[in-house]
Amino acid sequence: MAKKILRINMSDLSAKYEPLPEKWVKWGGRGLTSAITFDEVPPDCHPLGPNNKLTIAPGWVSGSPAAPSSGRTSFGGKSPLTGGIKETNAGGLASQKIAKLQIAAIIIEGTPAPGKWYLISINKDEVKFEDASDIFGKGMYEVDEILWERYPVKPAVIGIGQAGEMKLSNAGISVNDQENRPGRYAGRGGMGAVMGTKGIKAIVIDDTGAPGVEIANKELFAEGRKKLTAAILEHDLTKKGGGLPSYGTAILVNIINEAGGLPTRNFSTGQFEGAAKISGEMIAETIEKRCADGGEGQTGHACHPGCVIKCSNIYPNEDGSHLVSCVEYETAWALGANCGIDDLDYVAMMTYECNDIGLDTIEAGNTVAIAMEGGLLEFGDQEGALKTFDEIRNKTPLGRILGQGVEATAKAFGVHRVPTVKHQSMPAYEPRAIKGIGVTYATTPMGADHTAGYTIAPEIAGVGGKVDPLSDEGKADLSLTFQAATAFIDSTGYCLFIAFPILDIATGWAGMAESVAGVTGLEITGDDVIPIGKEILKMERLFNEGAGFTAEDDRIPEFMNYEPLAPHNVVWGIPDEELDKVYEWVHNDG
Amino acid sequence: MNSTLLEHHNPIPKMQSIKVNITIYGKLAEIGGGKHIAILDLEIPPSSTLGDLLEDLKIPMDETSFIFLNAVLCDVPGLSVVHDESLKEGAHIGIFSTGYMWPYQYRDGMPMSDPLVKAMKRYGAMHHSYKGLEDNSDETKKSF
Repeated sequence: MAKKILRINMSDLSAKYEPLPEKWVKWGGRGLTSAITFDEVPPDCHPLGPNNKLTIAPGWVSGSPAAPSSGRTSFGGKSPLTGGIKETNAGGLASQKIAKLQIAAIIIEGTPAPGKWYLISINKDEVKFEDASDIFGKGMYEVDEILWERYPVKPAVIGIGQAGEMKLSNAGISVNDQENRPGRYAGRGGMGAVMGTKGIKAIVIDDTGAPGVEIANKELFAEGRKKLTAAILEHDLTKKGGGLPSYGTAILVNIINEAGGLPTRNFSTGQFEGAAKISGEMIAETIEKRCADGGEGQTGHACHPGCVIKCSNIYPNEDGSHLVSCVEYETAWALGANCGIDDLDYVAMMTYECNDIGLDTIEAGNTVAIAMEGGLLEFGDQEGALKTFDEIRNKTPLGRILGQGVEATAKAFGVHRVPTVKHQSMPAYEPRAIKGIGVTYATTPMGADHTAGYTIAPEIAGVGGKVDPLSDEGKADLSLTFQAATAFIDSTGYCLFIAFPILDIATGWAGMAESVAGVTGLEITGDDVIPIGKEILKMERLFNEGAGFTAEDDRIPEFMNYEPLAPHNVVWGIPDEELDKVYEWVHNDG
Repeated sequence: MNSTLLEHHNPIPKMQSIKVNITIYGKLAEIGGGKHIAILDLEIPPSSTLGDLLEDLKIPMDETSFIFLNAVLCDVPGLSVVHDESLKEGAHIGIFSTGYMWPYQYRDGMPMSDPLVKAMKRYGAMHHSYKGLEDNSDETKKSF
């Protein structure tokens, strides 16, 4: 049985299965969402209008038996935040269940009658549209709980909070985790607002009795997944007791702070005096202390079934009960250092608010920092920062401004230090101190995005010997290579963090490629990674051109060119011409 | 700060000494009296190098990963090229235990020490760890 497309039209509440067209057969995850957006969404459409589409796609290997750390779901369409193409992915329960139903992608199009909200349930036998009035207006914690009571098969729940209902540009899409809590967010780019325009409060995916993922070459797949799993479990960073399971992604807080690249108080300096207090080490310490005699706090928590890395955590209240999952690096930074806040409990409470209301924590933290700079509250005012989320939840005019993200808030409060590229705010790496990430921020089709340019080994990337990664002159080629490698990994369904073991352990890389080839039957080897990634990038870049983007949009914010950043006291300084080299191939390579 | 961030001052000021601050992260923090993080304010002889300091503190180089001196990256997992870095009054040193991550794309373009740049030119800049690489002997590394 071949994989298929599930096309849902919200204008007439219809759902139909279609064979997967030949042109999309080779794509999964991000490759597929971007191909569908490129083929079916007019680039000049309004992202909140009827011509935009929301596409949901598991990766190539998602749902296949025992593929390690492979539970990413891609969400794609035209972004209300950036105005360009967007792919944003999340862990949680959805990816594997969609894949086991042999659905390559769910395409949601059209718009329902105004004021109508729906719950869509999908199982192997039917797609049902139900009135969602009873869950409209509720936060995602309550929605997840209600839907698991209503559907006792522990389904995946894809949903939006109040931010998505208001169609705010910082609305994310939640996927529930194994404990049925929101927190696995396809957060970036406001795709929750697109789901809101479709009148969908939640989608329930039940894979009971599903046929499962077909494996084209079982022997090759088994060999590949074993190699990849072994590499993950061998690497210092990803093995049991290694850095990621011990401290989570917030392991980076102290490193980036030591490096002078931790954006602090709205990107005004590169080191935060309170960094240690919001770091992964402190998260681990707090969990150990509060849960010494038992409790729900946990490091080494898996964000989706089958993850062997387990970099998530459950941050506890004083009494050891669950407060929120998960406090990640970007979250701790955005709601902590960038707001001058050094109290982990407040960071955790604000993360809970984001998870419940349905906001991207990066954009939300940056927005609070902008509001602080604009005088709405003081840097470090943790009580005040927490209350800003009530404004959004309660749908006040101020909340609607804050929920639109950094640029709208900066305009409302007269702030010129606006750390955005393509209207999306920067994550937790200062481009003045860490110039390579700045090239990626500037040029990726996604807007400023730290996950857009992941490293891959030079011998694999094909850049070894061609460029010097230690020179500024090679930054364009390197960034392109990283962006292409990331586009490939985002298509597999594997978590990006497999990049560490496959970078350092050659058999891990081979295992990743073999497992993909084994599941799909596609002739994919290590040499294909960059060309396939570039195909995806080309579609994304051309979509953005159609949406009106030019080279002038591939720029770092002006203030970074004239405000030196402490402690290195450096400005950005990479010439525009170097940035323009990153994508010049799109129209030159045929 | 709570117990993990143990601050320690060595009790016997030395004649003609300089003051430096060290933060140790991860399991090596136990050496400084902390659990996950230890902060030490020390007075050391003016001609001290980072290698001297690590030796005095009995920090095994095969258990360190990223090391910073005044926000400049001086070492990465498996290279151990910091021993000759000279220390000056007011220096801050950040020492991370093994198991820490800092993927290349998030450090691409960071200020790095000359010995580290030289070592990376030899072993490749993009790796996360340099364990088991060819010609990665202690003798070779000391040449940087």
